[in-house]
Amino acid sequence: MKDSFLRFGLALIACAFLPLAPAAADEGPRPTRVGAFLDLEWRAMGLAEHLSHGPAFAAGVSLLSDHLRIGLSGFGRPGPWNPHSFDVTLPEGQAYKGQERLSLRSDGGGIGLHLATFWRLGQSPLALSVFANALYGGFGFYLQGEDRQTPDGRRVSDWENELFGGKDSSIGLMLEGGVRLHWLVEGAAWLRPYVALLYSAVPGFDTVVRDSYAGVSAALGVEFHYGQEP
Amino acid sequence: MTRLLLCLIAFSAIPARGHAQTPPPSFLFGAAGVLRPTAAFDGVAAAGAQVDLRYRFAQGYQLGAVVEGLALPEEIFVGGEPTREGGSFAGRLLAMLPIAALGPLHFDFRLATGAALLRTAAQSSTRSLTEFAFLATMLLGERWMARAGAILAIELELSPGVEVANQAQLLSAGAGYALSPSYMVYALIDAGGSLGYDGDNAKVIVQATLGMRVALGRGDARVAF
Repeated sequence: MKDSFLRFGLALIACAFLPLAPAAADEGPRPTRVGAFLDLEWRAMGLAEHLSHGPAFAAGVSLLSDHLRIGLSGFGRPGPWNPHSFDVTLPEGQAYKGQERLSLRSDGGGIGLHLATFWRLGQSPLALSVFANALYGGFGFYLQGEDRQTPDGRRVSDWENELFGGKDSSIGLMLEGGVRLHWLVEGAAWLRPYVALLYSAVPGFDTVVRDSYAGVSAALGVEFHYGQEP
Repeated sequence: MTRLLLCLIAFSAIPARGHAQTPPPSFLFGAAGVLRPTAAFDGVAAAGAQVDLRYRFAQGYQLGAVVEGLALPEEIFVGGEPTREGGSFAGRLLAMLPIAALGPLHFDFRLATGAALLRTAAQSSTRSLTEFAFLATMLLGERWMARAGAILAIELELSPGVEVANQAQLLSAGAGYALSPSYMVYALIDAGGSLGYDGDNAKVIVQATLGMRVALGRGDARVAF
């Protein structure tokens, strides 16, 4: 599974920037119908009934005078930076280091295709972007703290797989969709700070802790853009 | 895999993009100190230095090599097992491909690939390193430069077993200050989540870099790196 994730990611990365913008001239803006963008953001995620945070990005080409964007997108929800814990009770008769109830942390991430439209709102310095991401990724739960020192020295993931029957994580297709409101900075057309609101879900998510990891997220980001103004 | 190689070959054939006030071609030398805290920010996972030498062509392409030596006091993972007190030596070949330039903004795609040898008192490990970076570099006046980007890094352990050690998505931010056109000091922070060893790795990577870049000859150090 992870091997296919790796291959999928590598192929996307290699292909994402193939249809690049025509050469820019040496001086000043030269509007072209094909451009490039790089979006970097930090998300506050309201997924799985708790608040977490993590980085995300999107990068690719903008087409049709920046009205259509295609590229690569990814996000992460690093476990060590999100202290929220999830309690889970082991099946009857099972225990880990004498505990029948365990406190787990969670992490997750994904990478995949990014598709968006981008429209300037009249003559205002604002623009609205509607986007969708189809990612390969998901979320998992893991033993934390002293529980990561296993009683027999085996790897933690071996114990997690045994304790939870392999259902300590759920990885597959992940879908995201949302809107971004960009500020078109006067005198710096290439800089577009933005706020975003999005919904994300992993269809078929199934673990011993949660049967859904869907929810709404907000993001604060900055976009670097080359190309024609919308 | 074949498709990936074809994509990379096609990518490398894309013509260079123009740059505002294109600096002349030159060799670029860089030296930096590197510090990585542990995931819980309660210790040092890695500390060391890296040096790189590149040639920057007139069109903005860069080709070069980076070597890095790190002391690893804590939070080392070999074969998915945590251990302490080791060191590593890594070498990478590096290519920087300019995508576009608009006034002070430069878009670049950076590819680095190489290998690392890691040794602790108990065992040693060999790894392949591959990194893709999408970088936006902004010239802010004559002396200041800012950089932001997304980095996808893949570290594959080849021995003692074959396993993904780190598969990380990092955001990168930093700034440089040119002491003169030929000398620039800079600071960078790269941070993000990482999956490795089926979830048994450190799960996050944070790296602070403080360094200096020197353009040899008539070159300009105020370029993307």
